Amino acid sequence: MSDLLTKCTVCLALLDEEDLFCANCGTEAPCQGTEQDRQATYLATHNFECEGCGASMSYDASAQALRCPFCGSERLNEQANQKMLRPHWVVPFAIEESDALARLRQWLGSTYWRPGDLARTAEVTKLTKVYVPYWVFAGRVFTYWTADTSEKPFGASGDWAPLSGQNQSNYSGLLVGASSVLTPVETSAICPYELSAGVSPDKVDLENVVYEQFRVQRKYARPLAHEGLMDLERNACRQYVPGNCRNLRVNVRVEGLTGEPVLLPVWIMAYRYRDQVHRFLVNGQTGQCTGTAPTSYAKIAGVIGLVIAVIIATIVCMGLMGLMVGR
Amino acid sequence: MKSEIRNLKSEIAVPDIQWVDVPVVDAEVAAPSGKPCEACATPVEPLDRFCPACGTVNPDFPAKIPLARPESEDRSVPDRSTAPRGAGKPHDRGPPEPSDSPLTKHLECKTCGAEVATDPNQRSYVCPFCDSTYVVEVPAGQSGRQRPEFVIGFAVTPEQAQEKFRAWLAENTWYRPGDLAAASIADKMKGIYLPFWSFSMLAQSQWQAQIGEHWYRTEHYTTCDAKGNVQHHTRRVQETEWWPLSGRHHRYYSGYLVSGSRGLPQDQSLRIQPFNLPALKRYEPYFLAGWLAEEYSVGRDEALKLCHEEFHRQEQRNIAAFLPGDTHSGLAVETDFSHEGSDLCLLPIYILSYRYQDKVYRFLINGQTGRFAGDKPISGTRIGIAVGVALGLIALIVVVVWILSSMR
Repeated sequence: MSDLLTKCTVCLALLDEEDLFCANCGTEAPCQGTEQDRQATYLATHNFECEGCGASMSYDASAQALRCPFCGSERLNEQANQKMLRPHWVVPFAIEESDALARLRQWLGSTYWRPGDLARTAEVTKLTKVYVPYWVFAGRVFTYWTADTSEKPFGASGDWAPLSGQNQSNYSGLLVGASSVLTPVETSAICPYELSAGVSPDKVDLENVVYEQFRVQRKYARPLAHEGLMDLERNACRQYVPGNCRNLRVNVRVEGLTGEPVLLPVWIMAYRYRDQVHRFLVNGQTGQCTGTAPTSYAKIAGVIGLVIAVIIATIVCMGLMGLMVGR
Repeated sequence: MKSEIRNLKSEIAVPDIQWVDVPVVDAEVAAPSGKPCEACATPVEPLDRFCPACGTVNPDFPAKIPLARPESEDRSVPDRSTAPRGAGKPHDRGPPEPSDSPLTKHLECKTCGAEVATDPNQRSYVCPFCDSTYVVEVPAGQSGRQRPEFVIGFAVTPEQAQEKFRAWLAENTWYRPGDLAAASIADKMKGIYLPFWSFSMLAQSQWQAQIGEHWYRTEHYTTCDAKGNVQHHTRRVQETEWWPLSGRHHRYYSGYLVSGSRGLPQDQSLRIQPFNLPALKRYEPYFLAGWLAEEYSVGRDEALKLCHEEFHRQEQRNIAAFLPGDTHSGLAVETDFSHEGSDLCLLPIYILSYRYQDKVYRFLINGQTGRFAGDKPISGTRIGIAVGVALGLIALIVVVVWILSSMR
């Protein structure tokens, strides 16, 4: 029943499920769930913190001009060497820069409503390879479900009959973003990743790439993991319903949810357009894109104006036609 | 004027509990971040005193909450005498001190009824919720209110908040009244902690119901009109087939908020929610130094009683939504509640209220996530000009058409 709110027995502060100590008073938390291994760490050099967006990252040692990949700012402060959480796996890049650029162009060009000076005022072409931290959650769920099935008992006059039941399953490999800059909406929009392609961090040269550091505690990802598990469970319960199914509803309780740190590959392009930060992200493994881009109000106004002008012209023409017919 | 105030007061006297069912985490803003622990590299937030993974002391702990003043050493006073005192006491704890709040001046707004605790050295005072100056000082602690249990500290600095406001006000300036001076208004922005009761409860239910599945049959029928002609018709008739169904339902209601605020109406505060609730920290008086804090207007017992009823209703509603079929009847639910808890939380918002032509406008910023919302006065004359120009154009076209068509 790890779903419940746990509190420190001494000071009553809130505890996360995987906390071993109270963050407020330092009391050791009563053994919660399974014994956890001490987190593996390593020393990260070339650490930078962005003044613009607060991102903490480790930078490519060979990079010449430093530019924050998350917000495009150039005000980066070098930080001292730091111990970092060691990711359990790193998924390497499978999408080349040219491919990512092509996808970016396609995505940017797909909409008419972009300001015309976007390409000029914003540095649109700078895509950066970044490893972004994620949590991989695993947990058990216990579910009650209800649904309507088309396999109705003999003699039924309608098309559907209701069913209810329960299910228990174990899940692993549920991804939730752990970035302190990208929002959960952004990090989930570029999922899924094929985690089986992940390799040990020793096999990836983390000295010479840009990666964001783990700065967000697991507790913020946990509620989002719950939602993800609910979607998975909805698919799992479908198997219990014979025939066609409608109104499938699941009521999920999650137990023993644990998260592991991983680094996943993302191509990021960040730019400022009129003091607003916009970002474009490409999944470095599958090529899935997401992003925000400015909308040109001038263009919208132009189109509305054009439509009005056309309407007016039609009215005038009709007036003229009426005039001619009248003659 | 007096009677109006009395009317307001009598309306306020009825405790109106308002329920907030919002996500526990805001998916549209990045989560709060912390520095890696020196020993084990787990992220530690600036307001955490110890690393949650290895218990190492956080060297940055006397953290800079924006505007906070340095406080005395004595922090951490759990005020619940029922709190179990564990064996390994990490700190010496004094007895509960009820008067350790840095905010000892209590003021009540006579216009909107909000009661706000503020710095004792603050001289002039304007109600942050309604921009009224009709504010009186009331003796502190007269009602024996309890200390809050949890608080989310301000993460947005006052400068950032003011900048946000200015940027927001600068949008679509043409429709604003010309005499709306932004500069003088922005200074009125106040950071204030709003009181919320947070309830959590585990509900486990068994339910039984009749599930109705619609089906349709075609019916033939005949009618006779006045002349005696017989006409044949068909029509589709909806029938409902009923099936008994039973099952279970469980839900942990946690972080369910009840607004204890009198100054800020619920619909207003909902516009800047959700807060990232996992960031709740144990309340310490130093959080409030330099800020305002509103006092709650509904007591715990009262709120808890109403909360029970509300959770019963919620569970009933959730089960009704959980049922399959097209309709249902005779839903019977038996619910066990356990793991009940209620906590008083203070959540940070920036509020800016200003009066323009006797109307109160508000601008709100979520002090944790930076989400903002607000209303701006719209200049009637300028809108009028725009509408007038548009109408004039249309009239011109009509006249042109008319002239053209009359030129025969």
